[in-house]
Order: sequence, then C-alpha cells, then structure tokens
Amino acid sequence: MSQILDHLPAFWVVALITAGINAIITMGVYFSNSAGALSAAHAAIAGMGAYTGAVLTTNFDWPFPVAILAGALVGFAIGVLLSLATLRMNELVAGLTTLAFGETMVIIAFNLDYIGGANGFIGIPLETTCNVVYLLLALVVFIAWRFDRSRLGYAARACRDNVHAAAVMGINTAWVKTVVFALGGSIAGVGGVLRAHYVLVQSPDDMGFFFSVNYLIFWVFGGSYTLWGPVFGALFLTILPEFLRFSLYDRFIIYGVILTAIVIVRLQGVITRVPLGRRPALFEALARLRGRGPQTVPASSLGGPQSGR
Amino acid sequence: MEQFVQQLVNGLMIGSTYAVVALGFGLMFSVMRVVNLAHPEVFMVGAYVAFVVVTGLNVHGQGLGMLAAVGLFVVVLGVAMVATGVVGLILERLVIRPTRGTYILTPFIATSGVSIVLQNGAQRIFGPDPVRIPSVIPAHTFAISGVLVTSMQLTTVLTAVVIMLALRYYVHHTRWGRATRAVAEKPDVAAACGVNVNLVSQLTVGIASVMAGAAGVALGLLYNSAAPFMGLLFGLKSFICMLVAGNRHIEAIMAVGLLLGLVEAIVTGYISSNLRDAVAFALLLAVLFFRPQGLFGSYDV
Amino acid sequence: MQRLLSSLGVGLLTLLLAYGVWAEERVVHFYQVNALTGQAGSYGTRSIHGVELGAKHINEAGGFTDTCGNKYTIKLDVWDMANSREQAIAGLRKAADDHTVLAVLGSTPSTGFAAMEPVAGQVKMPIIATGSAVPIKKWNPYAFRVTIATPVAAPHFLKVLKEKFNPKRVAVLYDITQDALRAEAELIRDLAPKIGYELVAFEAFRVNDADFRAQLTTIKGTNPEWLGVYAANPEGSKIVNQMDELELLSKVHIFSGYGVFQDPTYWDLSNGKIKGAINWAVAFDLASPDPQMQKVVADYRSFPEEPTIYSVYGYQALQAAVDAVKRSCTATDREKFRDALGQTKLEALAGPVVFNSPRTEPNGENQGGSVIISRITGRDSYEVIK
Repeated sequence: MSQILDHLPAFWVVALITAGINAIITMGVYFSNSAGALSAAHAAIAGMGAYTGAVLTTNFDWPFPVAILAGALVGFAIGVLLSLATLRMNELVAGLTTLAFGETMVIIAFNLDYIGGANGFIGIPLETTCNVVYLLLALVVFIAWRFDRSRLGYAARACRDNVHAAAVMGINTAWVKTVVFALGGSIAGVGGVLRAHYVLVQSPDDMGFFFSVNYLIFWVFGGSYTLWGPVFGALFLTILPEFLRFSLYDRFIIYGVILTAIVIVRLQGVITRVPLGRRPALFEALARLRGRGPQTVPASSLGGPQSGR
Repeated sequence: MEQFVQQLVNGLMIGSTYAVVALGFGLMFSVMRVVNLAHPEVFMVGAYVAFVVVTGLNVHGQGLGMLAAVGLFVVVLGVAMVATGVVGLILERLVIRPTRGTYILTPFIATSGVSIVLQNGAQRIFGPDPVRIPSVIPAHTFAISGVLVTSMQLTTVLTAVVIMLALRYYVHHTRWGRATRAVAEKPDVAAACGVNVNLVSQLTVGIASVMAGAAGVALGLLYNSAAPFMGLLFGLKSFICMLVAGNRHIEAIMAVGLLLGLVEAIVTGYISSNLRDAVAFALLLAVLFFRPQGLFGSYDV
Repeated sequence: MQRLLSSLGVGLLTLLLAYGVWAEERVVHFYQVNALTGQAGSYGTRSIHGVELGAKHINEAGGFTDTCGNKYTIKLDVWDMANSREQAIAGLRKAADDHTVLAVLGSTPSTGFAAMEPVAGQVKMPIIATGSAVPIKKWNPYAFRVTIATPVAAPHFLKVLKEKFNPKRVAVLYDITQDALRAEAELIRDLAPKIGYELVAFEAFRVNDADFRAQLTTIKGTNPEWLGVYAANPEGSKIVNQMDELELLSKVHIFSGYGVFQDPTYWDLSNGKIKGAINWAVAFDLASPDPQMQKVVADYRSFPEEPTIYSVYGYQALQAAVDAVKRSCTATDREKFRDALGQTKLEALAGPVVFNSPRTEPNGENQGGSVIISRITGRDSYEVIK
C-alpha cells in the first residue's frame, strides 16, 4: 500500500484519507439504519467519540489504539441511548429525534470549555495514516459482510421490513434494533477518532445537522441497504469535488448538479441489491454458471422502499 | 413590563416569518410526503429577486408617499412571487416528481443537491458579500405605549398574515384546496376519485415556493440585505416548526411558528442569549418524546 | 555603481559581466490556500486578491532582486478550501508536495488556519496566515500570521477608551461562533474590574442569526453608555439597524475591534448608521496619502469587491514573503526562507510586519503591527483618535 501511496501526489492522499474516514462513518450509518431506524445524528456520535479519543491522547497521553476503542465505546453507549429513546417512534420521527439530539450536542459542546468550547479542541497529535484508515475500513466492511449473513443481520432486515411481523416471528425487536444501532454508533465513533487525529482540530460545528445530512447523502446516494453502497457513496462524493478543481469558482455548482442528476436517475442509489425487478446480467451469468437459474426476487425484499410506501 | 411587551412583539414578528416558511414545508410534506431541502433556498431567491428589482428600478423608499411605497412593495412582492413560483414549478417537475413516492430520503437528498446549486449559484452571481437592498417602505417607527414597532416590521407581519389567510381560504374553501387535502390524507383514494395528483403536486410546490418567495422579500427588505446563505438557519427552524406542529392542520403550523418566535424572544431576553437556538431543538425533543405525531396530529406517513 | 566601474576599468567590468551571467532570472512560486467559496468566501476572496495585487505590482515593475543579485518574478496559484478543514490541509499538502512552491499564503478563516498550522510543521512548509486570529497554543516554527490579534490590541484599546471617554456602564453583544470576536468580548469582560468600568450586559448570538431584537431589548433594559458590537457582516449591520429601530442607537456609543466598522459594506448595509462608532484597527487608512496605499486602492478597482483589512493582510503577507526571499536568496529552499522570515522587520503596506521566531522558541505572531483607534466619519473615512 505504501508503495502505491508514494507514487501519488500528497494531496490525493489527503483526499483518500478523508474519503476513507467518511466511508467508515457512512458504514456506521448503514449499520444503524439496517433495522429500520433513521439516524441523522451520526456526525454528532462521531464527534463525541472524537472528543473522547482526542482528550485521552492529548491530555492523558494514552496510546492511539486505546483512544480508538474509547471512541467506539462512547459511540456504542450513545447508540444504545438513542435507540432506546426512539424505539416506539416511526422512522421519520425517530430521524428527527436524532437530528435534535445532534444539534443539542453541538450546543453543549459549544459551552464546555474543557474541550475547547467554540474554539474547538486543538493540539491533537497526528496518528491517522492512510494505512490505518483503510485497514479499519476493510475491517468494518468485513464485519458488515458477516453481519449481513448472520442471524442478527436477518433479524435486522426483518425488523426493517415489518417490525410487527418480525415480533410475531419471535424476534426480540427492541433488542435487535438497539444492538444494531449501537453497533453503527460505535463504528461512527471510530471514524470520529480517526478524523480528529488527522485534522488535529475537533470543533462543535463538525457535529451539526449539516454534516449528518452529508453522511445520509453518501448512504442513500451510494445505495442504502447494500454492502458496498455506503462505501462507494462516501468515496465518490468526497473525491468528486477534488476532481472538479479545474473550475475554481463553479466547483460546487457542478457537484450539486451531478449529485441531483444521479439521484434522480438512480433512485435506489448507485449500487443496488437488485435493480428494480431483475438481477444484473453479471450475477445472472454467474448464477447460471453455478447451476442455479435466474430467479425472480419478490419486490418487498428490495433495498430502499419500505413496506408498501 | 414594557420590556416584556417589546420582547413579545419582537418574537411575534419573527415568528410570523417562521410560520410562512414552515407552512411551505408542511404543505409539501403532507401532500407529497416530500421533505424539500431546497425550500430555504427558494426563500433566499425571493430576497435576491427583491434586490434585483429594487436596485433595477432605482427608486428610494424614503422619497415616496405612503401609497406609492405600498404600491412599489406590492410590485416587488409580485415579481418575486412569480419568479419563485417558476423556480418551484421547475423544481417540482425536474427533481421532486421523479423522486417522490419511493423512499422518504430520496427527494430529501435530491433537493439537497439543488440547494447546493442554488447557494453556490447565488454566491457566484451576486458575490459572497451580502448585498444591500434599499428600503421600499419609508422607515417610520411607531411608539405604542413605549413599545417600538417600525413600519417595515408591520409590513412583514401584515404580509405574513395576508398570505396565511389566503392559504387558509385556498385549502378550505376552493375545489383545488379540497383536492389538495384529499391527496394529503389518502393519495390513492383521491386518485381513484379522479383527482389529478400530478397537478395537485405541482400546485402545492408552486404555492409553497410562492410563499417562501414572499417571506424572502419581506425579510430581505426588513433587514435590508440578502446573502447566499441566509436560508440555512431560518430554514432549519421553520422545518422544526412544521415537525412540532404536525401537518394535519395548517393553522397548527401557523400557531407553532408564532409560538417559536415568542419563546425564542423570551428565552433570549430573560434566560440567556446563548441558548436561543437551543430553544427550537429543545421544543422539538420535548414534542417528539411526548407527542411524536406533532402537537396537533399528522397524517400517516 | 556604474560610475565606479567605468572609473576602475576593464578588470572590474569583466568581473561584473561574469557576475551578471551567474545571477539568474528565477521564479518564486507561492500557493494560496484560502476560502473562495462557502460561508467565509467574502474574506478569503479579498485576501486572495490582495496577494494577487501585490504580486502584480512587483511583476509589473520587472520583478524584484534579492541581496545576492538574483532577479525574481512571482507565480501564484489558488486552492479553494471552501470552509472545510480537510480541503485546507489538502491544499497545504499539495503545496508541500510541489518542490517549486516556497510558501503558502493563507488562510483567512480560522477553520483553515487552525487545521493547517500543525500540518505546516509536519510537512515543513512555511505558511503565512492572512486574517485568522484563532488562539494558537504552541506555535511550530513554520507558521506565521500577519494578523494583529486581540491579546495585543484590545488591552491598549480599552485603556485608550477609558482615558478619553471614561465609560462607566459597558455592554457587549458578540458572536459566539467567531474565535476572534468571542476572545475579545471575553477579554472585555475579564478586564472590567482592572480598567474600571462596569459590565452591565454580556449577550451572545451565532453567525447566520438575523434577529437580535431580543438581545438588544435586554441590553437596552440595562441602560449602558457604551455597547461593544462584536459582529461581522451581515450580522453587524443588522444589529445596528435594529438598534436604531429600538431607539437604542441614539442612546449609546458603539465600539468594536478588528477594524470592522471601516468595511464599506458595513456602512452600506447599515445605511451609514455607524457614523461616530469607534473601533481599533490595524493602522491602515485607505485614504492615506501614502503613495503605495493610493496605488493599491486605485488598482484594487480591477476586482469586483471593495478592499478591506483582509485585502491589506493579503498584500502584507506577500510583501513579507518577498522580503524574506530577498534576505535568504532562495526561491526553493524552504528552511532558509523560514529562517529569514522568522527575523522579519518590514515596513509593509499599512504598518510594520515584525516576526521574531527563532527555531528554539517559535512564535508566529506579528509583533509589529501598529494599532489605531478611529472614529467613523463616512463610508470610506474615519478620523484617528489615537
């Protein structure tokens, strides 16, 4: 990996690291939302994990891996809290609760002088490297892959499709939703610690609604509920503005147009589990090679639309 | 006591503008289940149109008589409302219609892309600095038993009230209003009854955008400035108003908008100005815990 | 010089010819990492244009010569950080990667500089910030800024206020989200007992707020004599307008820092209501008879916006960088450049730029700026009180 990086100009390394961190946090969104929740607080969760990890390394000289673990723990705890609070709410209202939570955290952080207040927490040591980020990203993707095929993953998907039917089937929906949300929270916390130790400043603004919406955009754009969707969304949308630097003034206008156009054209997200009715030709070919014929997939198990809406 | 009443008046005035923008959000959400993130930017466009018209006409409000000033204000309002209405219709056709009905986040994200384009477009065209909008209504302060109110503040409140009354009339007393309510409650049944859902959707976005444009003009003239990012915080708070009120009754949204303005003024004045923005979110959290469908009920999502 | 040569003869002439061949025409490359778009766009753009104007003046005069006889022209590049820390760091890294780049000029918003300052030390790239006033805990040897910041200017300002006007009841309304403004507001609060005035109200708001009547009504209720309006545009002009509507403007004197009132946009947006307001500013006067300043103001008309202090900071940063190149005789050696920059004593566009930053005890603050305290008399005019 390092040899590849040496050939890349340094600022692309910055873009890659930023994209990788965004991908990790977006995977956190993926986990949290896989049981049907809608989280608009992931920037705040990441931020709180970041503050925790940063305080540990800067003020107490604890080693970096411990800080990462601490960030994960804090993320987990907040995830549990949020999930319990939004258990009985429908998706939209839950999402708004998380939004309000995130903003409240920003205001609290603004007023806490120990973590720097409005100035932000500065002086964080540089620990994050490209290797660390992508190693952790690979780990997270691996966990997601195992999760998708695990009983917990199936239970989560059942909860997402129809929470009542899942309960009838014997799944402890409250427990599944909480664990899954908390898992997403811990991953976001890890991402936050990585970011804090890269940008070296952690400020309350970075936890706000605007950034959480960004992660949601990455998630939906890439293809919600698919494994690679969130990763692709984060990588693509983070690196796109860098490619657009040839247009100094109009960069973001072009970015906005591309974003909107792609969302309209690919409503399910760029990467989909099964595109609107049929499996992609490649998968069909592979399935035929393996001896299984083309299958029709019932519409309700498609990623994206909720039960009938 | 006088200070308290002054704070109340301040709060009501700002609350009326929250209400107008919140109504737009509420309309689009209840009728089409769409969260239009570009709505605050339409509000910003309204303010900039006012800037273009007022500086283009090169008239100075101070020199005009009351009647001429009001006439000019109505003209500016009219032009801005037409412009933002067009923007809204284009938005509906190109962005909202293809994305509505699928997943609740898809139009949210598509419109957020549009909002990025609008914000940066405004910055590109008009520059990153806020631009000055000369006054249209001659500035005159009325003192009513120690409480100070300016002519522009009164105009803003009046505009907001007129708009809200017009909307209420539309929703409750016209055919299309009834169709709109039908689509909001049960879109399939409404379609089965012969309502042209697409047309209702277009009308709704158009009306919401027109209202946002009017609010933009009012605020632009009230503060004498327009800036590319003026929609952000305002939009967020209006959005919260809509959520707190529930989207069943538009009167609820109006009331909550005013309430938010009032509570913000009281908290800022008597507790701490640091907490001003926290009020909206605290209110939201409280309502979401105790009455998730909004204070006055919502249609099923 | 030439007269001396002609009287000394051929030998010296030959030597001089050899020297002339040896000295090359070089290009010194500076990178600007600043906010061109986004919410801080209006500040970053001005700083960028200030730097560009400085380079244009020098290049049009045929470039500059260093103390070793080499001639230089200046090359500039701009990298937009769009209010994002990561993009600021990316720009800095890109500059560091490019071996023709000698130094980074920028950024103006604190989001950028706070993130770039430690990275500058890691990638060993000299950077001169043009307007950020964020508190820096521990400077690294490669970071500098031409900004005159609160710790230097505010105590002096308050003392002068006390001397000349003896305020007894002082209120403050400040932007809690902007480091520099908040730091100064807090300083005003903390210095109240020491300097001898009473702080009767201490109200805050956030950037993007539009309505300040609630805070102003509270302030009005405490009957202050002086009100510190620590806000940038567009919030500041809205505050002043609303003060007028609440009939507060006629009852108090307003003051501020960082030369905010001298921004012509402030005058425009408040329709001139800031006449009579007092602020401390870096000693620059756009109407000054100084020929250099007059040339800058005249040539700045090629840009779409009006010049403000950030344009001046940009120009000064370029001047400081050029001065360091002159003394270090290099367009590519960042270490030599940094050492020269750390010992700057320059009479720049609107006052001195003085850096005293030895490697053992780095300190990137501008120690030399002179601060004036002025009262606003017109859109582009003010009178200096001290």
